[in-house]
Amino acid sequence: MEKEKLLEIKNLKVKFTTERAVSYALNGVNLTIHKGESLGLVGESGAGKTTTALSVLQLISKNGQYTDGSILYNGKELMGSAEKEMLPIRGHKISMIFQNPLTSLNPVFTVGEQIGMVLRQHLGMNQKQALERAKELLETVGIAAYRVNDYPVQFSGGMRQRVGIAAGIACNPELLIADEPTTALDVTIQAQILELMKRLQKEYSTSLLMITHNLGIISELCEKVAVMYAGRIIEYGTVQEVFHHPMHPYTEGLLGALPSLDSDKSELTAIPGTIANASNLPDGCRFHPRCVSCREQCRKQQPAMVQINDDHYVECFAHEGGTV
Amino acid sequence: MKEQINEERKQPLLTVSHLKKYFKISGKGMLHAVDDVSFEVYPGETLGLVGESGCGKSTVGNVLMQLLDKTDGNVNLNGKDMYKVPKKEICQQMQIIFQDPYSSLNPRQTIRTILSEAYIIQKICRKGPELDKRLLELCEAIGLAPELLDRYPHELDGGMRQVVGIGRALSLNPSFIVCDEPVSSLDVSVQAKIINMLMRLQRERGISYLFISHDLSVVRHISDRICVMYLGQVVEMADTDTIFANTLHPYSIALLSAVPRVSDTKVSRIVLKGDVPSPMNPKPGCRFAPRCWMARPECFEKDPEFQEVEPGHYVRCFYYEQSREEMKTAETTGITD
Repeated sequence: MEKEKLLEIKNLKVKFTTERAVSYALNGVNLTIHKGESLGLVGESGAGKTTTALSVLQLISKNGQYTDGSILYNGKELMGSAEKEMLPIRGHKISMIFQNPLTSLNPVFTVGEQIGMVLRQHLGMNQKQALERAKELLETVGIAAYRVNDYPVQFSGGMRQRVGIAAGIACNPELLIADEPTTALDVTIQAQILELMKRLQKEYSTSLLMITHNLGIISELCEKVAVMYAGRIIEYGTVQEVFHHPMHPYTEGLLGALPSLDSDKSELTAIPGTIANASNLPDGCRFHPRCVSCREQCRKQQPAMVQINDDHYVECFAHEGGTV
Repeated sequence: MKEQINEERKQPLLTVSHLKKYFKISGKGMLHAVDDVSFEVYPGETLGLVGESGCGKSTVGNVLMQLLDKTDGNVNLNGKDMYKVPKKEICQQMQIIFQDPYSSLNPRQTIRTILSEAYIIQKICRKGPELDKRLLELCEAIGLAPELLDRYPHELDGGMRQVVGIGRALSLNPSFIVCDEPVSSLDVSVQAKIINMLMRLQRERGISYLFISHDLSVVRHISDRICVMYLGQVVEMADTDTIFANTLHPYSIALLSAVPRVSDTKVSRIVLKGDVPSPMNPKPGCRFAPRCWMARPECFEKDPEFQEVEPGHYVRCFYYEQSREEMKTAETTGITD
């Protein structure tokens, strides 16, 4: 059963130029999200997760430059779209929940005004309608409607993030991008947010791009997972496949490095070395200096994405030919 | 890895009894950051201290290190009242590793200066070949390339800086180290390296750790015993296996069920309502009662005692016996405030 493609990123390359160096944040990202699907994007800091998300919305900062690739949304090219064409998409068709709920809300507007702003902009509601709808949305995310005229400072971290989610789902988007939505929150509050997102996903059947470094969250919330390293997707597949039969040495390393709540590991397997420096990337496979099973070929050539089975793809020479 | 210390309990290295730390907030009253905390740390063991932000974990660590004055209570180190031992002597026995390796190293000092400071202040040796020898030994112990000694902190990445932080704590060969969230600002792959190193150093030198963290899986991995804190109080304490297999306090149960897991074991989740209340002028009664999913009228009136319910397992709850039963029947509560 082939689902319809909602978003297709092809060979996306982004570089950032600063006074001191050029850093290559994305080096050929290929990623597809189907309608109604939830995809987790995982990787360590600096892997390019957030840059990927911001590229979809064409929001990367001024010193960033798209050097190659295309982003197709419902078959429409977003790359190089004029600001005017992006506006009806941002926050309406594709919306985003940011990591830090403290800085992503404007402190001088009430939460009702901020949620209403999205509604007025995209759905053409008037002030009164927007406020009414904002109340409903707050109820949906578990905040009492009477708080609609409160300012962000009057809310706790977890509730601010809920306001962010309410604004994110206000226009019933086709794709919701959540960039580390719970990283700044405590575990019990994180559990509240995760349950909320699960519920909303079921009710609205929105597609979800979940960015996180927490493998546990992905395992709970997503069907598919893409593992990122140094600006490339190095492994992709269903959560079941990737987490239980990891193929790429980096994915294996990540899973081995994670202490578990359920089993006793006598020693964690640390990945040697440090994360590749985006302004001084190694040749060949970006992971080879840290890889335990590095071969001669890995130093020179960039491996291509290999299909292992229907639900599993990996970018590593060790699995070339598709054999398991 | 987790040695059983239950048999023939040794003398505790550190005994903390009824420790309190209140902060006076002008115009608002007293903030009860740490309210009646008691625990013991035995030689060579790791005691994990878990809880959410604002529960007083770090304050406990800071009070133990005398970075903050206590309000009340007692701390005994090797059977002696810690507050009567000269600070200089305490420093040789107790050290701390801070959370943020970026702000805990002086940016104007080279790694060499940072690591030699303790030797010089304690007059163990002066600058010269003796000090160099000691620094090399230290570098070897923490796996720091000696070339890095003349670098500045900004030239190192987060993981390496934390290694320097650990080296600084180790330099005087202390018997007790407070690890205040030492890995929470690091990426997973680097985090594993630091955890492995801390565990190796413990095996080699028999150091005791008070390991403060909000990450339950890390705490489970490294600790022999675990204290769960909520709003300035320890609500449950037991050895690691017991606390995971036989969780009794309703807060610990909810906390454990809240962690997203990679494995297939599906845990019925108890979603706590609302947020952690303010530790300002707490009302009488159990601190957890307003969020508790099994609270009864009594819980709002009386303070539960911190009682030993089985050998080595302490719980601060009136109805701990019912908690596991009720968890089975408890529905995953809806999200409302």
